[in-house]
Amino acid sequence: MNTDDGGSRRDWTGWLFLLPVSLPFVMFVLWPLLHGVLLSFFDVQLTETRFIGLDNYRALLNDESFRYAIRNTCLFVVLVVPTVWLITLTIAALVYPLGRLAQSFFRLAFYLPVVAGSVCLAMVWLWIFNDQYGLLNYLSGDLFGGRVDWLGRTDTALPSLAMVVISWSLGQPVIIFLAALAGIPEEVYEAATIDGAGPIRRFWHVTLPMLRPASLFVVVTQTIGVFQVFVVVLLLTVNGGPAHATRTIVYGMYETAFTPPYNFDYAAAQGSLLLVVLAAVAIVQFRLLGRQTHWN
Amino acid sequence: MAPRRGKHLALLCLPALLLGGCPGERPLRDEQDRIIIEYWHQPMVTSVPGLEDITREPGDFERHLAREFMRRHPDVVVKTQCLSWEDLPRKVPISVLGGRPPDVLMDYVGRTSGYWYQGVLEPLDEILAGQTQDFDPKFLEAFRLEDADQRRHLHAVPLCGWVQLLAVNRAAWDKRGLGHLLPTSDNPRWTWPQFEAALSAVAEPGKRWPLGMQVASEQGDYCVLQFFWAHGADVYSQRDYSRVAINSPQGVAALQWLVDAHRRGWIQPNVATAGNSLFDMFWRGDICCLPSGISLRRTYDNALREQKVTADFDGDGERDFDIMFTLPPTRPDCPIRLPFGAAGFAVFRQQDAAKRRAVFEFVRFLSETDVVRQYAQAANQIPSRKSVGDVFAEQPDVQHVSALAAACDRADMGATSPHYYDLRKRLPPHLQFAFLGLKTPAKALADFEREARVVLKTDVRSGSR
Repeated sequence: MNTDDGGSRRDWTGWLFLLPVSLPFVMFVLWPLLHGVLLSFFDVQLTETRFIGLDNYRALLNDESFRYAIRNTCLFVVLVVPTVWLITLTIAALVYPLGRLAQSFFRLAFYLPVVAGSVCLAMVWLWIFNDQYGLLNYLSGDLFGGRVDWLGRTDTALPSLAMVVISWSLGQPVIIFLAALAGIPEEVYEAATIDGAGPIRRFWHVTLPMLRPASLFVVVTQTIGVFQVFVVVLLLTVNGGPAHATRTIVYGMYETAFTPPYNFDYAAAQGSLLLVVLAAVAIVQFRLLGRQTHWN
Repeated sequence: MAPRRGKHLALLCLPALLLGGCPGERPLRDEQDRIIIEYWHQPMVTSVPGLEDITREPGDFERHLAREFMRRHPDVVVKTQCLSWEDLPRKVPISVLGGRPPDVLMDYVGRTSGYWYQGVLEPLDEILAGQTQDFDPKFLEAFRLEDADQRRHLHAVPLCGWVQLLAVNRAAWDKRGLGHLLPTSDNPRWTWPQFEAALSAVAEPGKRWPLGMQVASEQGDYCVLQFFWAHGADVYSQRDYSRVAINSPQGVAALQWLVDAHRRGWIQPNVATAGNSLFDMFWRGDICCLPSGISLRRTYDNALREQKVTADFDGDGERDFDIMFTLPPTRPDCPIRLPFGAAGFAVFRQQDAAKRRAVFEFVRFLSETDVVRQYAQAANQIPSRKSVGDVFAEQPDVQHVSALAAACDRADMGATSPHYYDLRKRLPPHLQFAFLGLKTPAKALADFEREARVVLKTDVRSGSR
């Protein structure tokens, strides 16, 4: 605690330096978030708003399409997050021993989809999946028993979308893992080698534990990202179909709020629920993965 | 010390500057004291007859109309905005929420009715005072809605509309010597067995599907419900919008017929996911007929220009396309009922009396006979005003089928009922379950009815769920 004048001034100056960051954060993130939660307890019409308590949450319990959205979102997470983690870790482990130039090339190659823009990529995938003239059917031939309507069948639509999400989610984790691999001290490997550890044991007992912080970051950010999957559903499917097979929570929120009859409050209730679920999942992940993490 | 204080002050002023940038209500007048009217509209017409050179893009015609109105009324400035089909259902409600709706909106009656029930539109009866006899009563009936006191008002001024028919590419039959299976232009009616025989004759599994259908989105309801009415089913019974009536034995039979037709290869496989690709399949000759309004002929002209029409049924390298409009087939003893859609001009609530007068004058101008004629001709739609005369004079087949359609009963899809949009978008997933074999037609319709019951409990005006 500062009691002299100079200390007080320093405190104020600190807050003022934070202002350029915290002001937009409060205005465009925190306030909308709190406002959204608040909105979920009201009935919002174009002309009037009134308090309805937990009615929106009660309605969610009986909403079949919301149940599909939860199931599909969880399936997305289960399909995408471990796959992305495994693929990117493998890629990083394979790329890391290569020279600096090769590393840069692969970094660029895997990061390119991130900067290419999801809309452009979705358009390309739409063409790949097309049941009439799509590349995938052309390449697979009769492998799946003739032409497959990848996005039109309930059993293939969601895995197809998951594949798209995986394809554009690799860039950032690869870079994070490569950076984390570079941060592992060489002496640890030398000590393990002196103790008689082979390449597999070194990877299992040295590399993987030392990558825990990076893995935690990748898993948590990927989980949050995939829970919010939206663009791929909007662009590659018609209204999260067929038969709700690709409807996700965030897509459902969008549809509820921004298509007639514009239930902003009901969408806010869905968003609030997603907020709670995401917070709970992140806490669980931190507990499980963060337990033995050594932060440098 | 002073410069630092200045910086602090600047930082503190930032939120005020940001908030100051947020828009308030629209200004009433411009700097020359002219009343500003904001006119938002559908991208309905291009190439308006007689004005082809200046109406190449959607929105050009409305800008031309605005200029014409401003010439007559120098004290008014009209700002037009052409909204895309995707933006119409999004941007307008958001503008209402933000307190900056347009003054005049030209849109589909199913959407304008929603704004009426939200209480944000002006009743427009006085605009047509003394002129109602010149308007088609079916249009007026569709545009008159109840207010909170159960009194019926004109919620928008009707412009033009369409009825859903069946568009048939008769080349698909003619080129295989099967033209005799189709109805003739003189008598464009089907018997049900004739319809099934015609479908069966040109179906080629995995290659050609005679009937195009989509249940991917709510836009497909005009297509699919046609076959419910053909089986004698109702969406609503006798204008009772408090319950849906589609889950009836006739409704189940209709859906069962559609599902069976899909399995037999009469309906294209991607029925659950097809959107606009349905038209592309029609132009390519993959499908041979589809439920559509007569405006399809304009769409066909555009597709021709874009070189999308590539149907070739006999493999001679020549384009095989010959559109014929028929009345939709119905089961024996079921009368033909046709869904009717229309667009009109709605006026959002006005606070200023002078501006209200100007806005009403503008809508009067937009609904003048000549303007309605131009819209109807360019969109190939039925005009709302009788004084427009016959806009299909150069299309005798359309003229004939339109006359027959006019004599048919209107099918009630509840387009101007309070819960229209909410229920409309809830039906397709249930139909998809049936088409994909995940639910029986009976179960799919029962599930829809259960969901609809929850929606119909909601009071749209209060919004209570």
